[in-house]
Amino acid sequence: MGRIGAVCGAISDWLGYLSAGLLFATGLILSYEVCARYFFNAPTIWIHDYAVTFQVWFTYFALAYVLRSGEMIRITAVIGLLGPNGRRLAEAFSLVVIIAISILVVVLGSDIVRDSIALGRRQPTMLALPNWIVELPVVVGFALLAVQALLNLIRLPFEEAPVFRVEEMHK
Amino acid sequence: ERTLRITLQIATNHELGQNVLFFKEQMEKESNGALKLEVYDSAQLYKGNEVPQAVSSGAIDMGMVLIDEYAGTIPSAAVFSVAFMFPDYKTLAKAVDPSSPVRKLIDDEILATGTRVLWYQDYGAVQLLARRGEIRTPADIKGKKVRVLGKPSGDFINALGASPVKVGGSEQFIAYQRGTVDVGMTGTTATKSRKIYEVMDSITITNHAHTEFLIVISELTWKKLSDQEKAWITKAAQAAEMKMRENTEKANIEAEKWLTANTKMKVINLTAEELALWKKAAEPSVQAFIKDSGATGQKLVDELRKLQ
Amino acid sequence: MTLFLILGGLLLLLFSGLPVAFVLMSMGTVMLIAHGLPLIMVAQNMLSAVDNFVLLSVPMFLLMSNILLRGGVGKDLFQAVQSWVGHWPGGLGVATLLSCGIFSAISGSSVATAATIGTVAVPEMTARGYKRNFTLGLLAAGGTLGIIIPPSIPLIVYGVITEESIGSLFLAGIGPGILLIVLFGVFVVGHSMYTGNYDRLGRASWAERRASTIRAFPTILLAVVIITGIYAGIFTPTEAAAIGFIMALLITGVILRTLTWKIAVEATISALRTTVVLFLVVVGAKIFGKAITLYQIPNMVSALVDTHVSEQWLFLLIVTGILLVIGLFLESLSMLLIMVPVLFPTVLALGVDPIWFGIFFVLLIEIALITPPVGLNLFVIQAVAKAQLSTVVSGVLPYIFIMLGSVLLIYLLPQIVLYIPFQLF
Ligand code: NA
Ligand code: NA
Repeated sequence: MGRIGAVCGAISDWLGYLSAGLLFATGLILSYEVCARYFFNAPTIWIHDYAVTFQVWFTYFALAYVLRSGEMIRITAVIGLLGPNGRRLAEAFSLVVIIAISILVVVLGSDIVRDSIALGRRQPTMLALPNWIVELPVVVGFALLAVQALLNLIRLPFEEAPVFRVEEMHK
Repeated sequence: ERTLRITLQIATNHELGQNVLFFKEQMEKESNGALKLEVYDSAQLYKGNEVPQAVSSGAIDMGMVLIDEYAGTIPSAAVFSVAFMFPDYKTLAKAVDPSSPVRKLIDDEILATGTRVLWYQDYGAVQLLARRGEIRTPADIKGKKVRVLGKPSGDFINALGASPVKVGGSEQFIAYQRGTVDVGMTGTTATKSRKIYEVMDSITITNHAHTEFLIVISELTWKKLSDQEKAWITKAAQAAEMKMRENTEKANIEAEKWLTANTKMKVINLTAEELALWKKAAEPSVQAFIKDSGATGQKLVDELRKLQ
Repeated sequence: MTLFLILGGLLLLLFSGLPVAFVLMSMGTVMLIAHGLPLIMVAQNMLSAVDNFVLLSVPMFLLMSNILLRGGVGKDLFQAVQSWVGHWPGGLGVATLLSCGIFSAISGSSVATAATIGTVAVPEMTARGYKRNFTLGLLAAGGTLGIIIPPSIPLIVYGVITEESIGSLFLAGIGPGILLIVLFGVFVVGHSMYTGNYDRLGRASWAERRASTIRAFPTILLAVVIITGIYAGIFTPTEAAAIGFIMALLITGVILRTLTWKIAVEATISALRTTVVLFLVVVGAKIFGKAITLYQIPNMVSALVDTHVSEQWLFLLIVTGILLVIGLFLESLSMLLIMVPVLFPTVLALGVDPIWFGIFFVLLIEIALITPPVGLNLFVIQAVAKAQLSTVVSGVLPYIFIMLGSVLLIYLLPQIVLYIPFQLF
């Protein structure tokens, strides 16, 4: 199990760095578009499409990487007052819900991807990129998230109870 | 008793939405209340570009969708945005008549994606608008930045030697007002309803493309219906289609008159010679369409040229 | 009945500590199941919520402000402003307020504004004899300017939900932003003169002013470029943010020479983190929003308002009341994402200007950010200053009333909101 955790963690990290690179690149190409339009009078209609595609990629590829450190907006005002076992229970509940939703998204998302490939769905834009290119990251992101949440759930009884501080809310 | 749900990206008080309410009325009357329609308007459920997938997957029974939204998957569906394929409402009416070969070609390809077309909603012709001065010939927009909506209009503008800039519907007004683009592109009625006349000097009636909306039903839903139910729906759909077609031509001509009479915007009607210049200049974009859409596209263009 | 079940479930899950994004997703999912509706919608929205060009301005603005933040421009800004107004009565307070205002013009988030200026200003003001609760209250409230003065993440999200122009919304935020700075400023100076709880600073020399202003100038210029660029139609808000990002790289890399590889990487990862966390809430809200739509709840609200309320002022008064109460508990973005889809049909039906309503809503979010028990800006300042929550709360109270006053003002004089986007050419 430690091994699965390590592999999963490595994939999440790697995808996280890839996402950061994509985010940076998105900033660069969008500014290039403005320059192309004003200085060369040659707007590139495709940059908008790429930028939006990158946005989907970096959001979902980074999902597990970002959420691994527990950085989510949550209201801890009540559960922060609980004792260690209460806090464990609250955390377990959260993890179970996250796992359930993630599995649901992976299953339904796979259907969508399969459908798009079978029908040859493409976006109605200048680039006409295949739809699965933006649909697949959703499945990958939530699959990694499900595995990670499951590992956290298994470890929960053996580790120190989680601490919920108010600062968690504004990270 | 059965309830169907439909998603619209516009409000029910809009002409297109009114047409759907007319269908609802007809269908519910026809079926004596056995079939009911729940209308979700104003993109509460789905934006236009999400409709093809939502309907084919059965997430929603029915939807209104701009036909161009299918163009990525089915390149021939872009035909209504290919420049000057439908020079007037008569040609358009012939092309989209339920019995027309043009329509059958497109409907069959859409059906292959698990979506059945119930009826076509014509929403009128697309025009060019100038921020400063006026546009009469292709030379007038050469080198300028022009708002486009998608690939076919982008190809059209490229063919004319101008630069296409994609501007979404909600940013259109401000993009014209501030001069993000020099030349606008939108429908005659939208020029009126979106108050585009406040920020643009003139509108040139090019009728270079048509805004065609489809009302589609999921094939998953369709297969569940009895023959009787299918008949009720088909009948109501045909009534709605005819009503829309009549209204649209009238509404577009009225909008044109209204703009001339009530705004400082100049309405420019082109001469036959000027129009010929546009068609000639746009020819590369027609070829681009045929290249993208293969044999079906060629067949469509041939059929349409026969109608003209 | 259904409405109470939904509301109860929502509150229960929120307080169970389940992340807000998953509260909304699971509520939406359960509601779809209960109504026998296809679940595929859940997966579809994961994509469609993020597949959006306008929303792209969120990570872009975050990237820009993170680079500036880590490049140390907060300190430069504060110093420059202080050199000009520090010698006024309550001058350091005014400097803090103006710094919040200027930083707001490059940051889209209230939390970032409060944290950045707070880190520099709290020690300075404390050292100069300002009362602790006064200082912390000013920063918590001043930080909220971050979401009314453009760029603003809540305004972007409002524009995405309602399909209103982000450009117009940004321009509409300028007037009320300036109004708040003026009202806060009057209070700060008045309070300082009345209580005398501050040490007056000496007037800075012209050389000092020149030096500090030159150092802060590029950042101010950046803010000006972004807003005039949007105003003049040179670029869309999303592109403006990308241009801002390049300028931030140039300012910190070439002019201030504070940018390192490490800072660039950290800033990017930090922007990515915030983006993912925010977008996940947006996705959750979209799923929940669809579910309540399929339950016809916005229609029910519309119908309810329609039969009982026919005047704009009464509707807005009711909305103000509801948002004040929800704002006590709910995190700001969730408040927007949950309530706007419910209220918007009524807004249009009553003929309330949708741009004006966006600004009105954001002002109420600003209040929510500083009302206990759940107020992000209170928490940030509490963390920055390592203080008691009660200290921050006692200092922030007057600002809540000032902000309510400004809501009334924009109702009486809607031109404060609408003049810049629609009449100033
Ligand atoms: Na701001
Ligand atoms: Na609050």
